[in-house]
Amino acid sequence: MKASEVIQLLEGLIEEVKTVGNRRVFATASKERFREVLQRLREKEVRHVSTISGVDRGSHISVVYHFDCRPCLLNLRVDLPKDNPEIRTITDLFPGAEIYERDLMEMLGVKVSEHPDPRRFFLPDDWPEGVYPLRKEVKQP
Amino acid sequence: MGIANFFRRKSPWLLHFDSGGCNGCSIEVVAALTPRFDVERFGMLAKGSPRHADILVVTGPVTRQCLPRLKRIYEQMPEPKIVVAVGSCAITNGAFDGCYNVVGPLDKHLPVRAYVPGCPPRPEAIIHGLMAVLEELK
Repeated sequence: MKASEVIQLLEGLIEEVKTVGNRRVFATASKERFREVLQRLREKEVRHVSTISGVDRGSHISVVYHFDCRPCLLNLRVDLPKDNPEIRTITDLFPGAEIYERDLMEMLGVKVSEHPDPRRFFLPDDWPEGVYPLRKEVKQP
Repeated sequence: MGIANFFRRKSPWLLHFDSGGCNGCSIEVVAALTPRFDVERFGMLAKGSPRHADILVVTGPVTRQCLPRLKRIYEQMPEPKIVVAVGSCAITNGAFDGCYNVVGPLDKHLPVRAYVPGCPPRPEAIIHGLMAVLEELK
């Protein structure tokens, strides 16, 4: 899909739409409705989530899903409050997101609900519980 | 110079350990081992087991997960043992300094006898570092 087709497909579900060139779309979605976006993408044979990036913005945590819509790239941002960063898993729709969500859980402390395998992935074995190294407030050695 | 040291200088065996880097230095170490640069002409041979090794070649910054493994490998090596730090990361943490899981530099934890700087160092430089520690065995 081209950038214009992606925006047309997701009409009404996404906000703050920004297009860079004709192959990159940046958009935000609410925590409640972002799964509808994913379902619409699935119906259009979008199968590949390239990665998920988590960003600590100070006041909130942004979770950015990067979808490969061939040839267009959709970067879908979902903002979560910092006191309770919880989001539903997307592994039922995009199974490849499993490892990215584990990364999100341990590095930024985002609670991914209904995740099939919420173990730790990258952190050392003796890393203390409840310390999320990519959060702004964590003091680096 | 004892007779054991005389022969050890003729065939020091290496153990290469990557303690968590980007693999750039590891590739240069492999280049130093293979025929183009050919560290084997000095009798050096890469070994798979620390129990057979005389020289421990460490690349990469020491990470929190790797540190106990690195220490155990060092303890398993027979005396006399020599540690060579290869690359900026092993020497000073390099680009990974201040990272949440980096506990280096290497000489904080193990007695390092030679430092080979560079990011990554040239294979010639690695060979030069290894030859320099062999001089100490005299």
